[in-house]
Parts: sequence; C-alpha cells; structure tokens
Amino acid sequence: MNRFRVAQVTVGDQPPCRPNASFVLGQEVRFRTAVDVKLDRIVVALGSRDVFDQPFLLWVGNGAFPALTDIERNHLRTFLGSGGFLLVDNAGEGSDYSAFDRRFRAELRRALPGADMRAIQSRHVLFRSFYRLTSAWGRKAVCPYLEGVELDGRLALVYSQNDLAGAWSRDGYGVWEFEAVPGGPAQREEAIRLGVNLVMYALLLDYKDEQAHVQYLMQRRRLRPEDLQER
Amino acid sequence: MDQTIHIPGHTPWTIAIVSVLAASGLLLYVWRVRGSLERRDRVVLMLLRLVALLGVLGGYLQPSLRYEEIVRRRSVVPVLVDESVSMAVLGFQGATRAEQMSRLFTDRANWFDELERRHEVSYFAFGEHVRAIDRSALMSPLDPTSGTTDVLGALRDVSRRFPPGDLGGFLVLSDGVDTATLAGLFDPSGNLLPAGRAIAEGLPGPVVAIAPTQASPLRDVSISRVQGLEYLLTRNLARVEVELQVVGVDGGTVTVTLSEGGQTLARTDVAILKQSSEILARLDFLPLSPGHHVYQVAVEPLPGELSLANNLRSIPAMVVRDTLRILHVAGHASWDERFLREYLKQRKDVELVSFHTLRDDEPRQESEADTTLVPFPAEEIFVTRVEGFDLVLLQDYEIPHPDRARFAESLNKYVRRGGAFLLVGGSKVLGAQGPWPTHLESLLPVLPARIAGIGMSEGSFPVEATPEGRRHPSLSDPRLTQMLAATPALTALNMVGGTTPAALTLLRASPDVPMASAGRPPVLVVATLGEGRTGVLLTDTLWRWSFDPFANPTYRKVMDGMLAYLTKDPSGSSLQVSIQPSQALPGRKVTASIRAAAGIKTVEITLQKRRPDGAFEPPGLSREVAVDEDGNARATLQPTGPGVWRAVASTSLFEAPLVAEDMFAVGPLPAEVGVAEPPLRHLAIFATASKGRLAGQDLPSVESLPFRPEIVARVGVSADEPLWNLPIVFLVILGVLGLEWYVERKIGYT
Repeated sequence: MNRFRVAQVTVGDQPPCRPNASFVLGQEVRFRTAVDVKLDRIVVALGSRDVFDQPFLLWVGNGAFPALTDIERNHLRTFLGSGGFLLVDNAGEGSDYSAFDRRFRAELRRALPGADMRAIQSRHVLFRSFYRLTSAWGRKAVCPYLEGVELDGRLALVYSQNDLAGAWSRDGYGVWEFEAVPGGPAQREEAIRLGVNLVMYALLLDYKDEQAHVQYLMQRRRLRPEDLQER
Repeated sequence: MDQTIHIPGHTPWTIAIVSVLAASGLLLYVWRVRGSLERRDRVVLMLLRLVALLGVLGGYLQPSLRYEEIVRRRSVVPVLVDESVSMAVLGFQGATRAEQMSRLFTDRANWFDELERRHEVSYFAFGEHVRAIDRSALMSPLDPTSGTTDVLGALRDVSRRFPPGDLGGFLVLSDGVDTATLAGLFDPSGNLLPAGRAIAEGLPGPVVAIAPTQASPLRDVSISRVQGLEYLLTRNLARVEVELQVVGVDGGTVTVTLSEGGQTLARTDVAILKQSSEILARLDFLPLSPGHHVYQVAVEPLPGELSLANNLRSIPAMVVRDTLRILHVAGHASWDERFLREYLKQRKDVELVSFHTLRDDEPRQESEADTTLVPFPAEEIFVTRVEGFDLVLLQDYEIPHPDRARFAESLNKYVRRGGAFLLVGGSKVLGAQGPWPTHLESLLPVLPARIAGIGMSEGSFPVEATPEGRRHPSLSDPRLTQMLAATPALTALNMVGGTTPAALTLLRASPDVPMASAGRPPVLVVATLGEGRTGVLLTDTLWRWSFDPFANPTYRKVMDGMLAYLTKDPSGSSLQVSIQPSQALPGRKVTASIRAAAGIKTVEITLQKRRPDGAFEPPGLSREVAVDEDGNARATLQPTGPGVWRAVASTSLFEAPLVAEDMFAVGPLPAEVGVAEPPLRHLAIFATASKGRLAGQDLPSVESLPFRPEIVARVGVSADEPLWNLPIVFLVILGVLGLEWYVERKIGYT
C-alpha cells in the first residue's frame, strides 16, 4: 500500500546513527498530519536496490565515513534524479562534525558534479509546508540555516548540521535520548516541526506556494456573466 | 451599300506632309502678291491658285470613290436576372423579389417583345455565377439559392460572351445586394471612386437596372452582425453580441437564442425601442468541448416580417483549449499524489489547481496560527467553479459530508455535459476504508466489491494491457506490451466487483497474480457518460513507475494517453478529420483533410446533414480514400444544400472501429440576407456612371432606354472608282491655269 515510511540509509558497513529518529519522525508525522504513515524501523544500504522502494531517505552521519563506491554514488545520483528526497543530518560533535561535513561535501561533489549546494532561504516553501517556521535548529544550534540541492526545480537533498535526528530520538519508553541545547523543549518542538515540514515538502513540493494563487487560478476561467464584468 | 472617299497607297503621314507643302506654297504665293496688287485682283489670283493646288493634290493623292457593302442589325442587350438568396425577401404586396421579377415577364410581356424587336436579347440568371436561361423560364420565379451576388462579375462575364461592338447595353433585374466587388468601388461615404467610374464607363454599354418594389410599410427584424464567436476557449464564458436591425416595428420585445444541434445554449429577450433601428442582444454561454462547432443564432420571427432568412444565422466556430485545467484533490499527502502532481506540473499545457487534505479534523494542541492550513472551499470547487475545469481528478479522496450527495450530483452533471473525471484509488476510497461510495456510482465505471471496508489488496501485481487497451487510442503504441513488462509490479490494488457494461478495461493485473482464478483484477477502467468521460485507476502505487527511471516513460505514456482520452484531446485520437472551409457557399465543394495513425490504410468518409431537432439525417454515399505514408488523406465532398453538416470519417485499427467527425455550415454570405430594404444606392450610381440608370417596376418605354439601337457591320468592298483620272478634272485644272495666265496678263502682274 501507499504508506509513507521514513527509511534510514547507511553507507558502507556503517551502522545506522540515531536509529530511533526515523521511527519517531514517522510517529510525529502520523500524529500531526493526515499522511498515512507506516511505522517501522527500516534501514537500507545506499548500495542496495532497496533505496528505490523508499523515496524518502534519512542519512544521519557522525564522523568520517568510507568513500562511496561507484554503485553507491550511482544510486545516490539516480535516486535524487528520479524524484527521491534525501535528508542528510550531521549528528557529530567537534572533529566528528567536521569530518562528516568535509567527507559528505566531497562525496556530493563527486556524485553530482554539477549540483550546487546552497543555503535554503527562510522564505522557502519548506518553512511553510505545514508549520510556519523561523529556525532550522535541531538538537544543537550550530548552523542557522539548512542547505540544499535543487534538481528540476525541487529540493532533492537537504543538509542539516544541527543534529535534527538527535532532537527526534526517543527510546522505547518515550524518553528523549538527547537534550536540545540551548533552547530545551521549545527547540525540540521546533526541530520536530521542521521534520514534519521536511516530510510534507517531500510529498507536496511547492503546494503551499500555489495556494497563494488558487483564487486567481480558480477565477481565471470566466464561467458567469459577472466574471466578465469583473474584468 | 455605302460610299466613302478612299485614298489608296498613302499613309496619313504622307498625306499630311503633302498637304503642309501645298499650304506652304500657297502662303508663299500670298506673301509675294501682297501690296503689289489691288485687293480684288489679289483675291481672284489666290482663289485660282488654290483651285490649281487642289487639282495638283488630287492628282498626286489619286483619291477614289469606294463602294462598300454594310449590314445594319440590332444591338445585343443581355438581360441579367438576379437569383441570389436575397431575392427571397418579401417585397411589395407580399411577393418576394424573385416573384416580382418573374411577374415582369408575365405581366409586361409586351415590353419584352418590344425590347426583342429593337434588340437582340439574351437572357441570363446570375448570382455567384452566370448561366444562360430561356425567357420562358423567367416567367416563373427563379429559385433564389445562390449564396453570393456578383453584379460586376456577371456584367463582365456576359460581355465576354459577345463581340464588344455588338453590345448595346445591359438590362439588370436585381435588388442591388452585391456581396462581391461592387461595394469596393465606393468610398465610405457612398461616392463612386474614380476607379469605379472608369470601370462603369469602360463597359461596352450602359447598364439599366430594374429594381423590385419594396414593401410598404417595411416590417422586419434581421441579424445584421454577430460578434464573439471568432475565438472561443473551452470552459471559458463566451459573450456573443448580436446586432439586430429593426424596421417598421415599434415597441415590444424579440427573443434571441443561441443554439447548437437543437439545444438552446443561451436565450435573451431584448426590448425594441421606438425610433431606434438597431438593437444589441448579449448572449453568454460556456463552450464545453474543443473542436469545430456550428452555432445558430436565431431571432424569433415577428408577425408580418418581410424576410425570415435574415432571422437565422449558422456560424461555424473553432473552440480551442488554451490550457488543460485540472482540479486535483487529494485525500492526503502521499507518494502517489506527489509523483502524479509532479508529472502534472511538468506538463507545460496543464494549469493545475490543487487541494490536498493535510490534516484530519481531530483537535490538536498547537494553534491554527502555527500552521499554514487553509479551509477547503468544497462548495466553490465542486459546484460553483467545477465547470471551469477540463478534468476533475480525485485521488484517494472521499467527498466530505454533509454535502456529499449534492457535490456528487454536481460532478455527475459536470461529466454528462462534457467534463472529465478520474478517480485514483487508495486506502480511503472505493470501499477500502468504509462503505462503497454509492454517491459516485453513476460516475464510476466499476462495480462495488462484495465486501467493503477490508482495505486494499496488497501483494505484487504486474500489469498488462487488455486487448481493448492495446487497441485503445489512449494507449495505442506498438511497444506498449514491452513497456509494461519493464514496469515494477504494483503493490496494492483496490478490489472491485467488476466493471459496468459500458466500461472498457485498459490495464489489468497480469496472470501472475495469485487471485487470477477470480479474473484478472482491473487496474485502469474508462467509460463515457453523457457527453463526458470517466476513468478509475484502481491503485495508489503507480508512483513506483514514475520513481523508477526505466518505467518513468511508461508512466508518462499512460498518463498522457489517459488525460488526452478523458479530455477528448485530438492527440488522444488515432483518427482526425477537418473540413475546409468551415463555412461553405451553396453549391461549392469542401475538402476533408484526414490524419490517421500508423497502420491505417484507408478511411471511409461521408456527409450527414443535421436536422432542426439536432439529429442527423442518414449518411449519404461514403467514399473510400487512401492514406499516404505520412498518415494523411484528402477528399473533396459535395454537400447537397444549405444547412449544418457533419463529415464522418471511419476506419478500423487492430480490428477496433475508429470514428472522427467535423462540423461545417453551408449557407449564403450574411450580407446576402442581412437587410430587408433593398440597398439600391450603389447599383443606381454605378448604372448612372455607365450612362444608364436605375428604374423601378414601372418599366420605362423601350425607346427611352439608352441602349445603342443598331450595329453597323461592313461585310466587303464592291468597287473602288478613281476620282483623279476623270477628264473633267484635267479640263478644270487646265482651265484654271489658263484663266490664271489670262488674269495676270490683264492686270499686268508678272
């Protein structure tokens, strides 16, 4: 069935980082929106064909990772080009943060040579796709903005350096695994809302931008005599 | 026999030179004798010298007296009688103009007898063309069928039929309605242009026009102009402005209607104001389907109207689709919605209006101000504005309560009037989550499952085209089977209890499905409903085809074909026919241009006339035309009379019948039947410029007509009798010279 799933993707033989995050994100999306979510923990390897069953992938990184194989690079390119959405989250601290950041940017340049990763402006529809948001914080507040790669007019890849997955991680007893700093619960709620918006953007693209033009579009065709007189 | 002086062997130049030399010699002589003689003597001498010179000239030029045989006969006067449609208008004492003209030939036969005594008279009927006719045939009213009138063309045509010198003039019996070149000879003020005057004066004879007598009092309502049908967009309100010319009617109202195929599209009553001859009626209507249409504008006849021909006008119009406007309503955000939406947005010809349910109605902790949710304008999109869409696409969406039945009825009406409806399945519709949507039953081409509310059937469902699907224009592609074989299997299907009798299953799950014993489950089903079309896609996992780089072209192919078929886009048809011109004159042929898909070798084409009730008469004989390698074919067809016509092209492809049609109108030019009062001004001025005149039904006496009475023709020379070699001429010259000698001697001049 056509249920939405948040699949976590891994590279090489690395274990998934923040393994509870994708499940919690799915829970929150199901609770807060009308999206039909399948709640499960699914992990797919970037080198596996399974990535083409899951259009929404979450890649949480912590520290350096092995260089992508040709197959992984090819899968990444094909996945993004075919309409998939990849959320990349840097969960590292200190040198691990920098190591992932450097390696990820280098691999992205190799996988998508022509792609340009840019900061996502706060007026982007991503910040209005469900909630009205003004910040991009996660568990931590390292970078005030998200970065993204646009393909065919849509954001295909979004990169967060603020450990969004850390803010979403909750254990089996419902206890948050990491403290959101410096904003505490309010910052965590913002991070969850950002996660919901990311999912809604992946599913709806610029739908919310269109809503501003709906009345115009609805009335572009003249159906009644008064429509003629309005012009 | 005729006698003329003839000077053989000399050109006019030599005659002129010799004459000038002789005159010069005479002047020299005059100059010499001036002052030396008395006046009387001088005059006598000059006269004698003049006579002598004339004698010498006669001797040099050697003139002769020519006897010629000539024939004097009556000049030719062609009588041209108008047989155009405008001659059907009623005139004096309730007789049509054509009847008035025919009465001239019966009641005033003596006049024409007299004309024939004085002239060689030939009779012609004219409208668009000229044809010779017997006088006896003119005693009955001519059938006014010609859709256009070309007075000047008729005059020129007749002129070419006789030697130019034989024509004594033209007698034209017409109401003055000219739809060709005559009006172009006048400036906007109604004055004859110099070029027009030159044409009139250049005719081989004067034109005498006989006009019908107009009715008194005039009483008529006519359609003088129709605007607004030149460019129509589908599902865009069109405003048609009808200008009416009213004569002799004071007060009251007239009803103006716009219809197509007997179905009234718009109607309005307009008041007739006193002292006003022009009325404007506005009619608003919604063109629903693209293609050629023939609309009819009609004014309800008033009692005692002179002409009913100008109360009705058939107007061909081309309705085009500017963009494909799609209303996409999704029950929730999903991958199926996302990839379909992305496909639609990437199509440049699609204008997409989307409404997606983002959250159900359960209360939440956060305030509405935190979110960007907006109310769903169900009333507006399902009722008020639904006619503005070319396709309503509901995706895993259930129409909300409490207005579910009313909205569904609105959709039903929309489709029956020519709209398109597509329901994409999913976990919330078609009985997957609740009861079968009975409110949509009339729209759906599938039947309810035996058990509802058990969700979708999940598994692996490879898809194949049915035999009907392979032949269907929306999917016709020789590679379709291979393309479908390369697509990922669907993972969920909405199970239904079969299809309706009128439905056509285009795609179905392949035999690999375990439940094949219960029949292969349909995946894509379509049907027609009234004037519109409906379809249902019984899965919410077609997005897998779009997400798969190898199956993406198949996804696009299926969706392209489905949208084209549902919205009746010509590209969704394997056979197309177009008629040119879309407004033909009576008697003229039309050309059918046919475009056929690969594999079609021949096409049958025939014409059908539409009856007033909108139904079509049985088709005439059909013609088979061959399709060339590029898929094109042409045929020339002859509609048998005025009216609204349909060209029907038919063939078969993969044993499936294909039919295409196009509409056109046959009728006179609007100006031909536009007004009740004969517009005689132009004809009168032109006739006057040709040295003729305009006369009424009280025919002027034949002798008063300005026609050239006779033709003088020389048929041969019987004799040339020389004048110069007569003895008397010699003696006269000798006598003059002797007399001159004698006079000079007598007066002492040497």
